[in-house]
Amino acid sequence: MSEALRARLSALVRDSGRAPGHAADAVAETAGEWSARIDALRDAQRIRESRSRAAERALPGEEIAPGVRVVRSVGAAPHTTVRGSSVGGARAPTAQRSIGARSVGASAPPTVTPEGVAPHSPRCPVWERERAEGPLLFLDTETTGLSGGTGTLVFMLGLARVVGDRLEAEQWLLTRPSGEPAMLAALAERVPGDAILVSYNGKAFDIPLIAARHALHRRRDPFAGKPHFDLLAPTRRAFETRWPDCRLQTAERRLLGIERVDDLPGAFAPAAFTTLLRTGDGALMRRVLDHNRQDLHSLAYLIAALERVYADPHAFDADAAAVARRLIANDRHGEAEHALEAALPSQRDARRELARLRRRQGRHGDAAALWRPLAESGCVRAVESLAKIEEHVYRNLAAAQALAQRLVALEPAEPRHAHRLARLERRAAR
Amino acid sequence: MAAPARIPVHPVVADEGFGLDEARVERLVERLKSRYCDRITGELSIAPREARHAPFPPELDPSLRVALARRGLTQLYTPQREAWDRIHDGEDIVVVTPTASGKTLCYNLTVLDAVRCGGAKALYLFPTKALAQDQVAEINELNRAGELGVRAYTFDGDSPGDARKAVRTRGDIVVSNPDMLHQAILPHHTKWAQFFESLRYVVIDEVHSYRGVFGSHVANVIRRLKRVCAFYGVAPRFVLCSATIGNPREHAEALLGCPVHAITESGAPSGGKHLLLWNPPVVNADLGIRASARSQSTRIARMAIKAGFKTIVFAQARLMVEILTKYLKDVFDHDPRKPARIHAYRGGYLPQERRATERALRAGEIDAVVTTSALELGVDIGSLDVCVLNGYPGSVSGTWQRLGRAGRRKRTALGVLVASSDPLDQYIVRHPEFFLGASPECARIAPDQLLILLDHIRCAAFELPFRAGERYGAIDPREFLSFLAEQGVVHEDAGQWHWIADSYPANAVSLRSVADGNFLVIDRTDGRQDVIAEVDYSGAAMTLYEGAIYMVQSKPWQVEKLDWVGRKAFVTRTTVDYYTDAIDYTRLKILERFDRSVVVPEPLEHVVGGASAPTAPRNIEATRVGAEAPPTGTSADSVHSVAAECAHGEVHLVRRVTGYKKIRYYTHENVGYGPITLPDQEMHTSALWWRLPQHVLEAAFATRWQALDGFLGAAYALHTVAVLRAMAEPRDLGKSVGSGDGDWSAVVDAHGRGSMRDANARELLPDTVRQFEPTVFLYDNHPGGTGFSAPLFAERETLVHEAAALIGECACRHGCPSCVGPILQGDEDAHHDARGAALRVLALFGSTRRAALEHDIPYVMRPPIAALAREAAALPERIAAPE
Repeated sequence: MSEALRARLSALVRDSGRAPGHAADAVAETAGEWSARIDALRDAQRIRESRSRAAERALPGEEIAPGVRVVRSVGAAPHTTVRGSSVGGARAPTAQRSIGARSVGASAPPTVTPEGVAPHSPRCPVWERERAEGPLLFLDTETTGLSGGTGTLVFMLGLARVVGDRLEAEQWLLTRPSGEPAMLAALAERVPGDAILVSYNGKAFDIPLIAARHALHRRRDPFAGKPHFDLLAPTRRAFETRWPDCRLQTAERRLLGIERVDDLPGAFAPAAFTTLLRTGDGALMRRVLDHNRQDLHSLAYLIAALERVYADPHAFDADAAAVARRLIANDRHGEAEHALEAALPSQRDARRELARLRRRQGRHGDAAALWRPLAESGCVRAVESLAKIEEHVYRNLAAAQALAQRLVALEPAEPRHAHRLARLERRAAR
Repeated sequence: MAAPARIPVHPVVADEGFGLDEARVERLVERLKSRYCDRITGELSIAPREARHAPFPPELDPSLRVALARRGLTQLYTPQREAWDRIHDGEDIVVVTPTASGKTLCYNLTVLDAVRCGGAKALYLFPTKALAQDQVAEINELNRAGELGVRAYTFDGDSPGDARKAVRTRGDIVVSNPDMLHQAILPHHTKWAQFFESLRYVVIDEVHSYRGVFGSHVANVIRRLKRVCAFYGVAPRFVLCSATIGNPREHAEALLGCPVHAITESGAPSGGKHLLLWNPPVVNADLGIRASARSQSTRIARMAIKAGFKTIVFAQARLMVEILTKYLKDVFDHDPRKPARIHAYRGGYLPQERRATERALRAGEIDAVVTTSALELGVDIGSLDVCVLNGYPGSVSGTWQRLGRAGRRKRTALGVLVASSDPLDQYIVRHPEFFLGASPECARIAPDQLLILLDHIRCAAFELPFRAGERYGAIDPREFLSFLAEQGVVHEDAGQWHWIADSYPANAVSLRSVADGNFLVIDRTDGRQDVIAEVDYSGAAMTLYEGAIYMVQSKPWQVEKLDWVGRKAFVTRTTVDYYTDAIDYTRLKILERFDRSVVVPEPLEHVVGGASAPTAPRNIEATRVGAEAPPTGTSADSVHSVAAECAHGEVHLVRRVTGYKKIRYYTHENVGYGPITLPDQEMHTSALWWRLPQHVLEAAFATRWQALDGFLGAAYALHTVAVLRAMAEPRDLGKSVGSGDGDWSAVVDAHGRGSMRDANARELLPDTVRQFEPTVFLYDNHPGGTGFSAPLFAERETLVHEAAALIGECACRHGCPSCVGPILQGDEDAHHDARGAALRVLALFGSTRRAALEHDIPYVMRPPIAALAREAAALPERIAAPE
């Protein structure tokens, strides 16, 4: 380009208060994040240089069209160790085991092995409202950005399916943007018509992006309209109140006992792609492939693990009340009761939820028995529920009145309680 | 709004209900004229106009015809029919019509017919959400009248996520705004694929508001829209609507980048109109102080309301709306048991409150409304009888739009423009022929301004890869794409430029400003963390310095901390009795002359002599000067050595904000001073300038001080008339006096005297400068320029003449805020006549000899004028932000 125009543009960009370079493009990025990224990139570069062998720079897999590679793999995920044995609902403490460079304490919660995957896969998970049957297709993408929109490119798309007791993964990788139509064409042949998608946050992120890419190339989207088990929702429901966040890697660590070793954080995926484009160096991209493959494997473990969590949330320190609410909504009362009863000794919310369920079932005696210990510890809702049962079910006005007095004492400002007490006193006076 | 369609809703009976007839408006005019003839400086009468009708097109959808008939419409006005015919001939059109003349039917007729008969879809763009909602309501009324089944939805920032999908997939007509198109629709166009594939019409209403920076952005959003449409294989027709402006066709073509047919004849009937220009009386002849516009507006509105006329009062600022409303309510609404007769209406009120006032106005339930520009755009409020403008709205077309609020179909209406002491206002009322004879301003945009272009090429590359050889508008984007590739934003592969950056560029581009990097104003009062405002980058240094009083809805906050890098200002609520005004020094350095003319001033004819001496009294000769051919050669040099230069070109600007004044309300005393430490603001922009050679100055002025005062006064007056000419917002056009090489700048100091500062903002004495060649700059106040300076350069002679007239005809003695700017308290022995000095400078710039002779006032010593100084100090800063 002409020097004069370049100089003018640079000057104007500077004058207008923008940060230099393309930082202005970034969505909500602070200087701190940038320096952290740059540091990490330097790290990555150092690692790359220390191993600067040509093999490291080359990409695995085969080129199926100009700009498109496929990497196929079968079996265990790379760079990970899975700890723990089959848990089957028991709260068996696992042995301390060295995983990668880190050590995990004996008090870590139980974890799930991958053997659980195969037998469970054809069945519809209990947390899903829609029943669907078919082969599970695990899906995860890597993209040039997280903001969405037609400028966000899906440069890597991983699919995995259960075959026998193994997980077979296929990863499509763009090495040039112009390879996208060929990638989408190849992909379409690998999505069975009756496939059920399994992803982590794919409903909100991966699937809309994939749809946009197909629309841009005027292609039919093979994923459109497929049943989809997005594991983020059931994970969040069970663990939102327990974990600091519900990212996939948090679930891996806390539920599956997987610690990633030398994993390239997802935030570096865009940089890996631009590095590959600019320099042809695939070292970072190899690590993105590993990262993506690990995500696919984790999905397969996670769906099995969640089945067990939903069968016995207490054993996994999950939120039994939240899990049960979902099960009740899906008309799985038996499973819900089971989940709540197991959690009764330690989770107050579970006790409350079970009491509500009992009341709905007309089992007022059981409900009252559940509420009583809560009421003794000062739980207003429990006292109120007991008061209602005494007044309307047992017609024990004296007991109801005593409970109403307690309610007024607990929450003097609440007019509902005062009304209740006044009504009971009127009825008692009659 | 389609007036004919409204007939059953607003029966003309409402007029007769008050038993009013034409004669009474005339009588009010007569009364005003007889009692206040000295205040009325100009008058205009516009004759009533008959309706011109045309039949419905024969091929019109029968159901639509039925729906219109049920709304009382059995024929069209001629422009509505012409619009139909032109659109059906495949032309893009712009329709120019006054308010309430059936403009919406110009597009709705075609669009509804195409939706009903051809399954077409349409995109409507309005500048505000309220107008979009009005439009959907109107279409739905028609829908109900004829069971048309047309689905019209608004799509704006308030649309909930689940509703958005329905809008995208089911909407026949999507009503949105340019900002949403830019940030939400185009970057996600694949989600809208169904909509785009059937998109046949794009309607853009109120295009007169898309001018300047905003308009330049909108033109680029339209380029991107056309690009996305082409991807889906459609080429929709564009229907634009505008209030009256000077160049509707040219403006529409600049926005669309293609030929446009203009329909400018209104077919709707209108009543006659009287317009009075009103200057408040002089209350202190010595000091030239006039009564306030507010007192006059209140008086006129009171007379009108008492006589039974529905009245609308426009104020420039929100604060003034409240004050005027209070004064009128004190007269008409003192009985709290009766419903209010006077309402206020302005931005900042809750939407339901505004809707209620609109309804009450349409129903004729209230007698007067006091408002800001919020009611200037096409919000439907029915029609009123009397319109009072408290202050000049800033443009001829804006004035006519507001005046258009008064005027019923068969009744004469009255408009009164009351001048404030603002220089623009005073110019207007003293030159009634300028305003009354002026064609409305031309709307100007600069869609190819480099930064704006770069922003939108970035957004366009995100939306669709650029193909080799593809053009963007009329531009070949290759060099921009190379630039973006160097930044790692796009990547060239197999003949296409692909977006590869991790970002969403539309979020970083605001249509309402050139620069991004807006500052957030965060309220930290009592541990809060609320964002109360956003200030664009260019305004931050002047408004958000630590210690500044920042006002939102006339409530004051004080800036406690400014995080320049993080683009945040932390403020707390305060109750001070002053506001603050930043002091800045702006130096400009001329980088390149695009065009230049030399002026041989008349009073100096004798100096010229020789071969280059002009035979004509004045010789203004434009010379094209390219960068590769700097002005060399004997004739240019010799002319330059004796003549004033007027030129336009590129400049480098450095602004340093050094401190601020605290100014007390009402008395406008200066009650304190605070220092400001901020990084220098720099930008490249375009400017036009006038300068004089040193020896000419030395011949014309006794001292350099006087010359400096003259330049500062001339700059003030030139800025006033340039803002008027360019249809600019005053803040979009900057002014500065300094040396052309950026070594020093001059400002009016706290004592009303010119003062020179060097590059470090240190005071400099004029006599110590080796080279003394002051230059007056008028510059585009945005990085890269906004396109004002070239058209202003073309009008340079007019500007100088009008500036001289502005000063020459001013009633003050030595200068005042209405002509050369505030003249503050000088020292006793200063030979200080800013008016005379400014006129002399303008004469050297080429104003006519006659003007110079008539108005050149000899330098005489005058006592300082304290009262005038106080009045003047209040003027540069408007207390509340105009809307």
